[in-house]
Amino acid sequence: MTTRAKPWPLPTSGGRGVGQARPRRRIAVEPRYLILVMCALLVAYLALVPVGTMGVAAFRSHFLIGGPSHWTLRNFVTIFTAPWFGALVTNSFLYAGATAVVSTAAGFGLAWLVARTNTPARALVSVAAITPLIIPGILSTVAWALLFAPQVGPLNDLLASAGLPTFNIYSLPGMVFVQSMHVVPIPFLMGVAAFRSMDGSLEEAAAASGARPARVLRTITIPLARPAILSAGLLTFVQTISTFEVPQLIGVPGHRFVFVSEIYAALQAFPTDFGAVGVIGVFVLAIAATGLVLSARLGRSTATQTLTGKGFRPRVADLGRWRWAGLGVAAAFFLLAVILPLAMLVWSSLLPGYRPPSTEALRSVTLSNYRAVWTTPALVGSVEHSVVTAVTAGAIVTVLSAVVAYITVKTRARGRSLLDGLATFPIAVPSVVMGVGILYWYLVAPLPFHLYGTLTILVIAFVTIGLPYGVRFLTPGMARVSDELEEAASASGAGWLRTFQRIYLPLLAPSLLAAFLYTVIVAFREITAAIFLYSSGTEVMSVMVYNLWSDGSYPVVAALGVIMVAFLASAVVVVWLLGGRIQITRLTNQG
Amino acid sequence: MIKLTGLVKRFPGRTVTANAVDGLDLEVPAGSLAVLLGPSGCGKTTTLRLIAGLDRPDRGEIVIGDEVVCDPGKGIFVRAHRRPIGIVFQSYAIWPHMTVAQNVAFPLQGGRPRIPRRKVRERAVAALDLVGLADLADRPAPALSGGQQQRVALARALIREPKVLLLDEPLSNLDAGLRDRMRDEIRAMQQRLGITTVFVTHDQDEALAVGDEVVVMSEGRIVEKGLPQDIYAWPRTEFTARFLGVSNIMAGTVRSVAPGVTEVVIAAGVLRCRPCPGARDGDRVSVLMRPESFLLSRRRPDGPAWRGTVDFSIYRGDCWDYHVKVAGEVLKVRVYQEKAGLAHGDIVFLVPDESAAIVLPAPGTASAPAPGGAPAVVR
Repeated sequence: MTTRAKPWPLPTSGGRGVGQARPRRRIAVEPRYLILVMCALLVAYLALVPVGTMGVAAFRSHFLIGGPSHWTLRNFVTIFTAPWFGALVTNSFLYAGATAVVSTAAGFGLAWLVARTNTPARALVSVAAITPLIIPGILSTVAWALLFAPQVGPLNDLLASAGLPTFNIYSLPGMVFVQSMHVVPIPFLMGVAAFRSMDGSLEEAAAASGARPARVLRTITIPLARPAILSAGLLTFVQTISTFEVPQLIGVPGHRFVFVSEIYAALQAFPTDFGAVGVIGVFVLAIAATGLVLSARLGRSTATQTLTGKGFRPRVADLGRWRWAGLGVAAAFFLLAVILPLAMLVWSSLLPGYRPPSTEALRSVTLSNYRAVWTTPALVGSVEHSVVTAVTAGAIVTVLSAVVAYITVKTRARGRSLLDGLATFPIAVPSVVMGVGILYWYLVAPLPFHLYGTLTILVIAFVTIGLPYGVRFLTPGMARVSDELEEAASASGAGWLRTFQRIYLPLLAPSLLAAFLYTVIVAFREITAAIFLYSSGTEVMSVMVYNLWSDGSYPVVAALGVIMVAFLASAVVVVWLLGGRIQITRLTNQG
Repeated sequence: MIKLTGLVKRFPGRTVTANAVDGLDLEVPAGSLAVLLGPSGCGKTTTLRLIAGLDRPDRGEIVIGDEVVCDPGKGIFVRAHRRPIGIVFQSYAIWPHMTVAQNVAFPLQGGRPRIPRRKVRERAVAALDLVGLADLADRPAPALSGGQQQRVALARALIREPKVLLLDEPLSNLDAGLRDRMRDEIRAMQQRLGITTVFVTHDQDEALAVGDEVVVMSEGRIVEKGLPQDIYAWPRTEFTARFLGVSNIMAGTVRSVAPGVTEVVIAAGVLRCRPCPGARDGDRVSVLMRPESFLLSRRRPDGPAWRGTVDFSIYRGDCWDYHVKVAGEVLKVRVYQEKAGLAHGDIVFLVPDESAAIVLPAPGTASAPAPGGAPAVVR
């Protein structure tokens, strides 16, 4: 990079050491473009490397094992003809399919209650729908495993005392239930959007045509929402097939192996067949990509369908006495999604060893588990690692997505839509593929330094995963800063850097902060990618929760989990508050 | 026949005093078309939705035909799907996931006794034929133009042969030319079928052209109702006068009341107006005159005339509109069949057609409702 090539026009009082202005205009633009190009290359690298490496590994013999390596289809043949592969595919599709059906039905039902009826206290459902941001999947999995623990789980106790058969959570239905609780916000939010954008007069026209409410639902409401329903189902399917916690914590003890847990088991085994893992990874990637493409296509068709002309008012149905039933459903969902898991975590964290809730157990309540977290170096280390990696990843994502948004919104650079596509691409990559792909790459890449076993490799994974969200926050933010504002700054003699500092930075501040915090949240919760990338000494909190759980130290897991929830909750509250700020800035920008 | 008695509808969240519909009484005789006319927010659409059963009134009785479909006092509420109605929404509400024929056939299906499929199809095509769309029966509904969707909505509303047809601003989403044609078609069809119809609109031209009776509404109440020509020519309130057509409204005082004539002193002079029942000497009143009820000339005519100056003029093709300043007040005057226009500052003389001067109770002095948010001049 040419140093000091650009004489930034600074005010005389500026004294930033770049004084003597001798205008050399042609070179002047160079550093700016150099930065843009470097960022674009970095984005491309981050987006493509994991998937590319995974793909290569699947087609190589002796990948990572030494010995002569060559292109081959052997891995595919071996896997696809293996006796256990059929059962693996069946289990995975059964698990993900059933989860998609259950969570989509529940999500759209709840969405209908919230968006289209006068159910009292329906805000409870909306609040419950964002709790998965606050309670990471690994923690709610832990909580449900405790709640339904075979002998001592309080819910099974309850069932038994009511004379009902107990629920074995370590089973396919158990996996489907817990995973459905994790992903139900996706169909819920999509359902609310679909129902809100549906013209209520379409349903009223049916009622005025003599159709009973049930027929209106069957012939008008559901068919109109069908594209959104299918789209949500596909998204939950993809999400389910690519995450780690439920298959590992619930499925493996119940001997139900699916793709993710199989990949994890294969990588723990010795000697490791990296090529075979690559094949399963490519398989998962193909399923996810198909699902997402179909889902996006359906999303487009809904957008054109639900729009109608003027006189557009979404209508709220008066449920009459049935609204109390609606309240019951809303309250039950709130109980299941928020109260029970949180209460279980807090309860377990306050006892020296696990005991079911009772007044007698209340006497042994102690803070010793929290003390243990703060006095065990490994645990303190995991908290540090989580904070450091999440915050670093957040900062990098914020800068990168600001640059990407600037290029795609404010310049006419060729390939800018490709850049946007690359930055959004990681959203289509299942976390398991992301983790394994990054792992493979840094094991084989001819780099002068080792990244495997460092926190840096975790940061790289978190940056890649967070980038699409960062871009989503910053692209609209950037679009709201009108071109004239930048032009007015340059017309006032400000250079690019000063324009960025004085114009963009203040105006974009809310979007930047939101992108930063959201990435921090995403990174903090992530386990699927992290589980493949940590090594002893670089555990983050989610990984530590898993390891402690495997060792059976439930009370300490709970204490660590409560700390995690507290951290995430405060971050979510800040994002929430910022949401209001962003609205306000939008208004003032227009006025 | 539709009969509404003491209808009240309140929407939660609004102040208690501002009812959407506030004590409405209305009877629409069998086979006639009543237009609910008023500015937005006057409660006309809410009234229509109450008749349809899409909203529940807080008080009041609704009778359709000889059936009481709603009487909260007695706990009677027949829901929309059990009322003998057909409705056309402002947005048409054509179901995008069905073909044209499926849209139209929908009201015939799912009822009891079941109508055989062939019969349903026949009647759907017949209904489409009625609106001139029989050859589009198997098109997907979203592929139609706005005007065609409108016709489908109409066919769908009529196919069950309902006792009552409800039209909620059916023309407001159409282009100007198409609007006039559809308006005339709807009116012709309504008269041919002899179906009792309620037509909601905020457009006065539409209201006058289409209705057997025009019901002017404001703030959830009926301001006045009557034949279109009576409502336009002889409005009984200032609100109606301002809302229907362009009008000059001049403040004045009653000087004398004699049989057949009421003399009113206004700024420009004395007007011998049409009789106004209830007016007494010394009452403060408003005098309404339409722009076309003046004779305008450049030379002083023989009889009494008002002298004024032209403020500005608008050429409209078939006529000229002038703003003429008379005794400090600006009057709108319309002149047909004039070739050369007048310019700013020209001196003119106005002879008012006193038989077209109408005395109205001044706002706030009589029992008539206040004009509220009515636009000063519509058009």
